[in-house]
Amino acid sequence: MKGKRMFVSLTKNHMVDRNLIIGLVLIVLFVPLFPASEFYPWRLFDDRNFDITLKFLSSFYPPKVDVEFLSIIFFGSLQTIAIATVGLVFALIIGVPASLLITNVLSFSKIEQEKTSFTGFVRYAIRLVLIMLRSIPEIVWALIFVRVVGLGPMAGILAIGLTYGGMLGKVYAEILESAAGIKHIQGMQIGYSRFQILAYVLIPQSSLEMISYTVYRWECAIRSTVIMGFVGAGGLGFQLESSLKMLQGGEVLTILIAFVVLVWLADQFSSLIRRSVR
Amino acid sequence: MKVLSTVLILSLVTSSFMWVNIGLYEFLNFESIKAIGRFIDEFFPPNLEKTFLTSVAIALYETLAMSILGTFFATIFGLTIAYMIVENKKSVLDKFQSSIFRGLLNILRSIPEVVWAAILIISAGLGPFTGCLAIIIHTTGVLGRLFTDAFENCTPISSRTLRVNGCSFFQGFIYGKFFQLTPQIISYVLYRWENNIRVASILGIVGAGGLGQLLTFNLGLFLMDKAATVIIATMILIVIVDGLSSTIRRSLN
Amino acid sequence: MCHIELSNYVKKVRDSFTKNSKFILNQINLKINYGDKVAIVGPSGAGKTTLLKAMVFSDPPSTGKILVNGKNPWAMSRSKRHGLRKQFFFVPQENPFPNRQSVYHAALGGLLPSMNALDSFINLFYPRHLNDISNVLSKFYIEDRVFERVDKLSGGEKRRISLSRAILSKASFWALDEPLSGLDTGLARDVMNILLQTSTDRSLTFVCSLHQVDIALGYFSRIIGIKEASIVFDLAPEQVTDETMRKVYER
Repeated sequence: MKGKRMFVSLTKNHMVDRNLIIGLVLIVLFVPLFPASEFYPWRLFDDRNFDITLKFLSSFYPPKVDVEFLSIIFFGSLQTIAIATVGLVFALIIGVPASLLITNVLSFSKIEQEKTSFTGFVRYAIRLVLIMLRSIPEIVWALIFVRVVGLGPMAGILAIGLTYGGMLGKVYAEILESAAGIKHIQGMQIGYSRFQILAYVLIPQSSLEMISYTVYRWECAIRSTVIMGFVGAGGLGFQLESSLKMLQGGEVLTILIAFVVLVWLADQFSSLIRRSVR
Repeated sequence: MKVLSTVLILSLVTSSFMWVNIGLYEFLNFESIKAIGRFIDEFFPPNLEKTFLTSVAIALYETLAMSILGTFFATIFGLTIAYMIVENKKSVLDKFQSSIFRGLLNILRSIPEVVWAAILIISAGLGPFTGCLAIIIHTTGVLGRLFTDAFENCTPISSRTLRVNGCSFFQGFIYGKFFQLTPQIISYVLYRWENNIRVASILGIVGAGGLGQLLTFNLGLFLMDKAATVIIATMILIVIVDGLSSTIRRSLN
Repeated sequence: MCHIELSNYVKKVRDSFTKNSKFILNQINLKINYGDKVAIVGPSGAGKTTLLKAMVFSDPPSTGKILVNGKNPWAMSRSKRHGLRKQFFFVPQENPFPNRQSVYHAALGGLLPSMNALDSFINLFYPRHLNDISNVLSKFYIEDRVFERVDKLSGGEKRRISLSRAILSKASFWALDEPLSGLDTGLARDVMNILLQTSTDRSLTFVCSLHQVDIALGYFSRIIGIKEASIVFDLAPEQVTDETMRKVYER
């Protein structure tokens, strides 16, 4: 057992040997990460930075609560919700057909175990497209769309539509696949059409999960929309960015509070929907 | 109940559409489609010059470093805070302490990383360190909460047996609960890493370094082909990290 | 002064389902002296485990009193009571090891009460007490498994790790709940020999609950029979007749 080591074993037991090797590998991989990310914490405490920080932090209190500002925030929040909702509708428009196309359970060729087929290739291609849509962060899409359709909600809606479409497509397909079982294979063999199988077997089984996931994604969309506001896609984030730029701590605090409340409300709404579906 | 939710959802959707005042027609006419086509044309082919690719590689490494260090320190802080919340002294003072820590974790995780980064830029300056800090702060909140829930819900027998024999709370925690939950902890951490690599890629948009900063820079100068390279690099990085994380998780099971 | 003294000790629980109170220990009066070797016998559910737990003052009584070394642990401050726990070692019926631990770390549980925080932390990565632990594990024939994962061991092997903890500890009182469960007859006798030998060498007080009545009668100087939350007899083995034993176990 110990003979496997080619170098002199530092200790006589292999738990420590293993830990040492893991430790060394980790150190070698880890250490260069620090300068790469400019990880110099002492910078936080150098004189100039410290002053600015203190000044900014003290400007946070009190939060700005005059009526004019609050109404801006209120309408900004409404816009955020609107963008997220419309964006999610777009995501459904992309995701639902995509999921039906890529799922194995509606594929006759898969059932009959044909190795390769044209539809199999199409499925694979669409899956790749969905992966691409998912792996590009929505804010990047927003950045691009801002330059196509200009500042404002449209960019955010499109960005959410694409990214979340990718997510919904993949997850819906997975849900359908997990809902499939004996019944659906039998159905196919008997000769039900794809539509019939979908409507009578698969959807009833999986509708709960799909609705639940969709509502969860809606919550995420609200958060994403606020973040995309930073690049000009409208909503609360847009206001937050300008307040930060002007070092208006009081405004920032109000917006942050509004954000937390908004997220909480969205959470309550989604729990309500999910409970009613059960 | 079901009727109520359907009504709510429908009214939400319709009012949203009305609010946004979508001119779908403006969007779908021929002119704008041509314009979009022209726009997309500028992106391809992506810029593959050697010097530029080097800067992309550097930015990629920066982004990776941000995500790894951020997740790493957040794990340590998250574990520490979870320990302090779960530490069971049963006195009123310590219950109060636990609530404060819980509240802290909630604040940390409610505010998205981008917002933290934008706030921290003021004191920590531009660059990837700010991004790192933003990730650390937010992820500590998330992981701290996940860890606390996990520690509270695991079977207490291993730590309780150690403590009835005189072990300190710390010993009972590490040799009991921590060992019990190691696979779950690792799973949470890897899952957050998957999330954080995406976050790290975009924090540069507010100035926190990495691929995001390179992207904003090039988009601002309308160098679309370079921007395309950065976007593709980001996508590849995310897919690789997702893959790594899944492989590690599978190998541990 | 005796090691442990229970007076009118009562432990009740409320059944959350039926809202009735149920006695798990009912008016127990018991004195355990220093160096006693006691076996507790009785049917399942009679209260053996709770009695052992009461002796190591794991939970407070519903009513009644317990004196440890002449003092009431429940009248002490938390930290003092916790310090006192280091002198008492309890081994539960189930083997309380997290699955992914190595045998080393599982056995370390015996030494942990006498280790400081830094030492405990270091031992996660570097086994500083390997010698002591290997010695004890070798007595139970499982020394070669020391770095394996606990879940790869059989029930009997896991039991022996639990018992190794007791031997490793610096306690002066052992409370072992069914120490021989999962061990075949020959091995059980070996193990019991080791336990008794060690406890005699170190002048420890040794209390355990046993299903194996023959071992109880053969190895211990004091047998306590418990049935339906009360002590039925407390005798030396010579005085225990078949009749007495049968009375305890019949329903």
